[in-house]
Amino acid sequence: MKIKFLKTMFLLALGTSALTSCVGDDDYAIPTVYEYAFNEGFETSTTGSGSVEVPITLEGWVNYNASTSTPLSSRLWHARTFDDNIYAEFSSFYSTTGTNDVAWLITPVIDLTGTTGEILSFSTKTRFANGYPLTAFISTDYDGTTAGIATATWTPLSFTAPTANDVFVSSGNIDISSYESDNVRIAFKYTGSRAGVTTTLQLDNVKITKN
Amino acid sequence: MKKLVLSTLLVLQAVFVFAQQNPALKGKVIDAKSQKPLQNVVATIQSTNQSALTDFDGNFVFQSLPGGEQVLVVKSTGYNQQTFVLEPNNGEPLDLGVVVLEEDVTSEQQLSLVTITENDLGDDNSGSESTSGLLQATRDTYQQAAAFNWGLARFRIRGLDNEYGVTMINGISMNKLYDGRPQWSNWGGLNDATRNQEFTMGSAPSDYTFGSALGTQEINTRASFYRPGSRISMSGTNTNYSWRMMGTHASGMNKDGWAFVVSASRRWAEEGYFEGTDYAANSIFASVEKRINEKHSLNLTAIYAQNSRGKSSPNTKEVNDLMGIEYNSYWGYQGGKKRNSRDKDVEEPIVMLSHYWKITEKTSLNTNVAFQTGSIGNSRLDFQLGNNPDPTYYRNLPSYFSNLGGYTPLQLEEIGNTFRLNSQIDWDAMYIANQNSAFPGRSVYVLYEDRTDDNQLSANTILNSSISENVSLTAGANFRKLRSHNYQNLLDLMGGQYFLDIDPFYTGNASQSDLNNPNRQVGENESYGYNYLLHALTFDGFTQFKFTYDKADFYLAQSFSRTEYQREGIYRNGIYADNSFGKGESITFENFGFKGGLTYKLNGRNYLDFNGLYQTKAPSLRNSFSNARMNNVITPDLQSESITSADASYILRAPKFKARLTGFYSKIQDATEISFFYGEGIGSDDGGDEDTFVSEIVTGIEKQNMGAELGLEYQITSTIKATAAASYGQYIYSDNAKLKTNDDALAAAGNESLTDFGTVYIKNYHQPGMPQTAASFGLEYRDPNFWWIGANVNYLANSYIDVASILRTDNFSIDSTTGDNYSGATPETVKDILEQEKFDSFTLVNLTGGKSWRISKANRNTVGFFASVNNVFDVTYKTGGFEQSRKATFPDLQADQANGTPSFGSKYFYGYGRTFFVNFYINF
Repeated sequence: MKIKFLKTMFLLALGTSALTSCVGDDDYAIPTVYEYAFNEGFETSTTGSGSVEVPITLEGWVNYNASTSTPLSSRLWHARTFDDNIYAEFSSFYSTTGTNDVAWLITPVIDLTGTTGEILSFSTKTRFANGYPLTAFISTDYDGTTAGIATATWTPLSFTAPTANDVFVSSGNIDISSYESDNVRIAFKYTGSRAGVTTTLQLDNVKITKN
Repeated sequence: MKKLVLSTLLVLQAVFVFAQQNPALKGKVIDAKSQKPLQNVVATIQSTNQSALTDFDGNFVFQSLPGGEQVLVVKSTGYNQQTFVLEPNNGEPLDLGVVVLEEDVTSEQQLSLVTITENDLGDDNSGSESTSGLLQATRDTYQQAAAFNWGLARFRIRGLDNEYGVTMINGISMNKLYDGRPQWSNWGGLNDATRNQEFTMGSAPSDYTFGSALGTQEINTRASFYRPGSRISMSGTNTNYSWRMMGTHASGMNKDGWAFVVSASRRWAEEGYFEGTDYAANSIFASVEKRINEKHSLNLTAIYAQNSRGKSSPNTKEVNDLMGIEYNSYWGYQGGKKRNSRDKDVEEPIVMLSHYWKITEKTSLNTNVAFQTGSIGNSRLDFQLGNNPDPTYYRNLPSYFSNLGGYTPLQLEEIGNTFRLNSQIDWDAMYIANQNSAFPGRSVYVLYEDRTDDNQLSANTILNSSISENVSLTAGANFRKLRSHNYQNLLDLMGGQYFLDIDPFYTGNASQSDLNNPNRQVGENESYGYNYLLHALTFDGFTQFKFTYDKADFYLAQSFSRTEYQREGIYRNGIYADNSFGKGESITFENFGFKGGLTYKLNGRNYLDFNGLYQTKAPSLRNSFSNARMNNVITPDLQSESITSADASYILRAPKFKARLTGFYSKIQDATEISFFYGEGIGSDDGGDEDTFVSEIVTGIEKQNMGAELGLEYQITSTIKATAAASYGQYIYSDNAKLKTNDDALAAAGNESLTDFGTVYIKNYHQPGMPQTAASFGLEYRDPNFWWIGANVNYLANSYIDVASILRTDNFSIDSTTGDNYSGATPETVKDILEQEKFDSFTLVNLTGGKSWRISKANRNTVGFFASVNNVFDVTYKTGGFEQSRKATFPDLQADQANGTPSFGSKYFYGYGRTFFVNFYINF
């Protein structure tokens, strides 16, 4: 009796430990591959060159110049290419004399509710810099209309700007995980004028990595 | 009165004799064939481990017997054991009468076991080999299946490499300090002379060593232990060799106290199973014992085994599809004969002096001193600024052109045909190239060998003592001192006058192998390239206590070891001028181990057995110097491994039915692996196909092996026996590891040669190169007229490829210039392309049989034969393979695989198809 019991217990223990601690064939680890809640490298945008500017018209994006000058400046963020890489660019250098530019480039709504640990990053490059024109914001209440830009709550994001011309510099990792339960939009705002800051600003690789 | 005294004395004597001869149990053992009594047969009562030896007349006696049902086992080397269930009535003596032992015909099978050591692990430059260690026959059904039926498929017991086992000759470890593995060729072909063996499984206690997680194998060469007689055998096979002849004579102890054993064998093949694999091996063995007196004996053993064989190449799928699986790219015709460019030559004789000292009835001391010297050489072609002589060089294959694009299927087929016509090494072309060398007399192509000349002195002493009736002690100490000379030895200038000792890929000082002798002209049998000594000094000791009681046996053991390594450069390498010449820093490891176990006897037939082990283990010499050919640098982040293992078994021993079920677990942590390869996309890559030779250092490897093994044996009738064995395991890397590379090209350019690749993501990948699932079922018929036949079916599955570590680092998926994923790299695509290849499962059927005849009734002289056919249905199966490391980034690998014929696809090893083995023998 005792022998049977011990035997059974022994076999049971062996069987369960084998069954519970096996790994499946698909459980293997892989090297780091970033996964994005949002990733835009502008590679599908049609580019212009020289004086031809083709504005960014990506689905869901808002591209609007909230110029306050008279006359208004109507120039927009546009796509350019260099070295097989397409990016968004704005410069006040070619704006009409006497105008100012408040050029917004706003992402579509990004749903962060299903993810955690979100990190935002983007790259910027300056050319012919005479002042840094870019600010970046995040909003949870912007309604997607041009009129709504003025009424939405825009929280500024701090990021690393280039200290020299002609090289893309990463913004660094901007932790936006405090918005992990929200729908957000990211906005890039170029502030300049023909008479003031005319720096050419190029923007690329807007990404939000997630866990 | 006188009469009375006399009769009283007689009566007393009779009473006295009666008292002595009224044992609880007795029996007489005879040989089935000769009907003669057998001396020195062991009879053991299983529950108490009480044992008795038969005397000159074959009688054994037990004075007392424990109560209750008991199991008695009668056994002797070379005979089938007999098991009896005893039900003693209290006080009544039992007489078993005559016990007939039949010669174990499977011991013939054992003598024909071909050790498989025949492929090299990958195409790195290491001389080490994968062998099915400890796969020798024991009485355990499971281990027999593992040895005879699964061994050819590279099954490994518990998934453990044989560096985790200890192979000993007279208690002296034969595991090489270089890589921790035994060099089987050192006593290959001496099957007769090495048949006295003792095994332990897992961490179960051995009387000779502390051991490790896999088990121990002890070969005893004491001359008086051999069964007297002579034996000559002749064999034919179509495996790695074709013919074997072996002769052995053992004298037995004569009245002056002398005993000797001599044995010799020769094995050879013009061509083994794979193309161009020639084989030649000669082995001689002698052992002489002199019993000095009751207490002291001296034994001298000498083993000389010389072995030369041609290797066969692992091939990519593309090459196998073009040429068939028996294709071997290493050979070519020269003067009408096949010449293999990759020979392995081993010649490392051993002499050993042993002293046996019976200090008291209960205590003995065995001391051995051994010296081993000799060389191992692995030959290869070398060339300077000529075309690569490898016929399977990637630019010769259709895949290279199809990956370039722009070739029509017809053109690709034409390239395939050209390859077929030039699929072997072109020796003549190399001789012509040497004659037409741009520098007259200077060879472009040469044949060299990576040579290791070792001198090793070993000594050990082992004390065995029965402290009391229930407690015994084993204690041992070992010492080993190794001087290992490693160098590139020029074998053949192939028609040239000299070879220049430079590396033409570099310029200036960096191109010099030895700055102390720059631009040296090298002749045959001279060293060049690299040249260094490795020194190792180890000491270890252990103690082990065994406790034996009625209900349970248990043991405890502990060990300590100290290991010291040092490299001494003979060349001052131009790339590493400051740290390549002279003695480098020495490195010391201190390690310890504990183990213990328990056998619980439920009753005379049912047992539970448990073993546990924890130990730390010094890294091998091979893994301690990350760039040993070039400099004295000690492997970065090097540390001792730690090993944890446990097993639990249920054992049933009934007269007709024997069973063992074991669950096992082992974890090895902080292991280190160093390998060498050509790579691109890993650091100093300057684009294109120009690659650099790097050494890859993987540290912090964690391996977990768990599973269950089963052995069943059922005697259906007195002549028919059924056996079943199974092993189900999961052997994985249970955590990620760390990877660094050393790149000589970086160092030559004046940069830091080490690159840190961070984490290598290998968690939950399978350990490669062995079936992790195996099952066997066999039937055996044994006719009373001394013939027998057996058949078994074996299923082997879950064998995996050796994955390339460098492909599993962030370097693979992340573009360092953007810091982002490579284009197209998503978790899905990366996971998909990095999936570990699992080889197809396969089923092998084997047949064995044999017969023996008595020559005369007067003695035990017999003749007989043994024959086996393995893999009867000629099933093709992979035994192993490895990924190439050359395409080390996602886009490169994806591009290489894009059209289905990668230029750097995985390479595979195949097992033998249908093979046979026939052995004729005479015992006299």
